[in-house]
Amino acid sequence: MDSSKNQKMIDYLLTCDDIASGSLFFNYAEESESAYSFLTVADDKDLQKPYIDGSVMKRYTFQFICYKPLSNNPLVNEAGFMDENMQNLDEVQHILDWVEEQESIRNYPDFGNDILPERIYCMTDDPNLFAIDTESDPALAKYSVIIRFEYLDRTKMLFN
Amino acid sequence: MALAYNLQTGQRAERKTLITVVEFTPLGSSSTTKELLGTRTEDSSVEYNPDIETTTDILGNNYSDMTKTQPEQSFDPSPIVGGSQFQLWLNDKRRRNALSELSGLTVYIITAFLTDGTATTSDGKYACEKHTDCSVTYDSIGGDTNVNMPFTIHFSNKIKTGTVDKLTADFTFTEDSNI
Repeated sequence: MDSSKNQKMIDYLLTCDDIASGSLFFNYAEESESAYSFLTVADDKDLQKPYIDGSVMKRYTFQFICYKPLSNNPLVNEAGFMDENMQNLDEVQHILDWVEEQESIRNYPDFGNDILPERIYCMTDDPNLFAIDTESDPALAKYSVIIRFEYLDRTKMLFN
Repeated sequence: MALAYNLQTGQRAERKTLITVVEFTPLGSSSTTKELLGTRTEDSSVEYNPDIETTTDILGNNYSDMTKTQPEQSFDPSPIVGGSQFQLWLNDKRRRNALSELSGLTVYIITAFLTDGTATTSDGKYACEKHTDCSVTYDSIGGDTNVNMPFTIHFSNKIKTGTVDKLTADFTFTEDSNI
């Protein structure tokens, strides 16, 4: 995988205000409040779809981890009260919604002239609670979402 | 024209080395343009549909004669993709049911795995068959996730063999001189 694609994807993600306002790490986990980790995921080459003109439909997948503080307050049935953990989950959901919005307006990372974007999407509609760390101060919830970018790679075409 | 492989011994020809290009007059234009066919098509072949007559003599020997071929090539799927002038042209005919306007196309079959035998591939002489007066039929429109409009090219067999000088839409076709 061309490493510049990773940089271009990071540049793209940093146009999201929620991500830019936190701390984004590449293939590293900084377990702190409002930290994000961008973890590369290798896609099986057998899943690539070649076409007769030499272009290939490929996928670029990565895991996005969000760290949010955890509250140990029990839920109460009180008008106007929103659990802090639920609020933090909503903040992570904003990032998933941002990805869906980019897809709807066809705003994609720029992988170069020979790469035609197909679509970008989150593999789930909601964040996955990956883990809970009660040893850290404050306690942290780790939310995870797999994001996939599909694109048509025209670099190996013979006829252009 | 003497044919030679544009392949090393034992090397298989990749599918992308068999190239079908249609030449047509786009909507709103007075000059022709060439467009590669097969965008996002995973599998497509030129089917020759031969007519074969077989006779058997009194000795039990079979003699088979291929009396004609009616080559055609289907492109399915062929999703509607923005920017394709040919799909725009074809959709115009479909919408108006303009059946008489589906003919008169020039279609090139470039066999980039073959050269004319006298030049290296660095000279860019790829073997090519030019069919004039071909027809196209649109087979359907629809599909599931994206709009798919498969179509079929019906080759005329009015063939001129020759070469093309490059693998871009502005190639020049040079007819074989010894035919």
